[in-house]
Amino acid sequence: MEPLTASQFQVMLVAWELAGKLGAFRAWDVTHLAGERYGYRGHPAIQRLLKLLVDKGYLSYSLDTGERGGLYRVRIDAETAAGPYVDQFLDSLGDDPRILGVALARLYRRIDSDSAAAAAV
Amino acid sequence: MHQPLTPTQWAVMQVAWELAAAAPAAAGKVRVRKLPGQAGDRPHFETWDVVNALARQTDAPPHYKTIATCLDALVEKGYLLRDAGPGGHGGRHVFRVAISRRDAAPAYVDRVLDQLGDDPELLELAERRARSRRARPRTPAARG
Repeated sequence: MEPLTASQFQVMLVAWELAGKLGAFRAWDVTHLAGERYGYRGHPAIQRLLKLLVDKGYLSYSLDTGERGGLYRVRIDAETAAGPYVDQFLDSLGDDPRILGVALARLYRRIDSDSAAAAAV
Repeated sequence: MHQPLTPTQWAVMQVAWELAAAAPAAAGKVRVRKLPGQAGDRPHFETWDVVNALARQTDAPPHYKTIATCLDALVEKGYLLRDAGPGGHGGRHVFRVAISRRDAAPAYVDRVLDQLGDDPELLELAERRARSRRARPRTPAARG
């Protein structure tokens, strides 16, 4: 599976969220939520990213009889997609254990703060 | 902490660190230039050195102008220093690194992790993969 770029991965995060709520969703749903979550601006840019994600096999697209464009559905779950994305990031770090150690330390910090946040709820 | 790098800027900095760290014995391979009269005799490199090094890593060599723009951005962000080259201010610029890979890594890692989101399952997946990589034996190139 071809790994995602950072902006494609962020759009997929939005797509997974929408898929959890709606099942199928439209390009405008992604534009609105991506704007809310990540400050993305511009529907055409989101449409281009969605097309790339369909081409890469992460989303499917079907035409709808309605007037508001077609519907997108996710084809790959988040954990499956995250593997190649994370590998690509780790490749970019190289294999110097000190740099991988930095990455691990930052990850532990986030995982711990997530655990703390979950425990506080 | 410095402004974080994009993946492309990080890839260019990886080359810059390699060029800066190259021993004189390897100068033929990486074309590091040491300019006379510079404090500390630090290794400098030019835009072409980065273009050529990246061209060796990929099937699609980068455009000179793309790399020149990227080096300018890295100077702006404080990761590189730009000096007048051997021909003075009328000549080509030369660059040297202003920050170590170790010091630059946290901001880059944070940027990528921000993009991964805050789903604990994804963070744990990343942690497992990073841990397994760190346990792997290093390649000879990385040991240098």
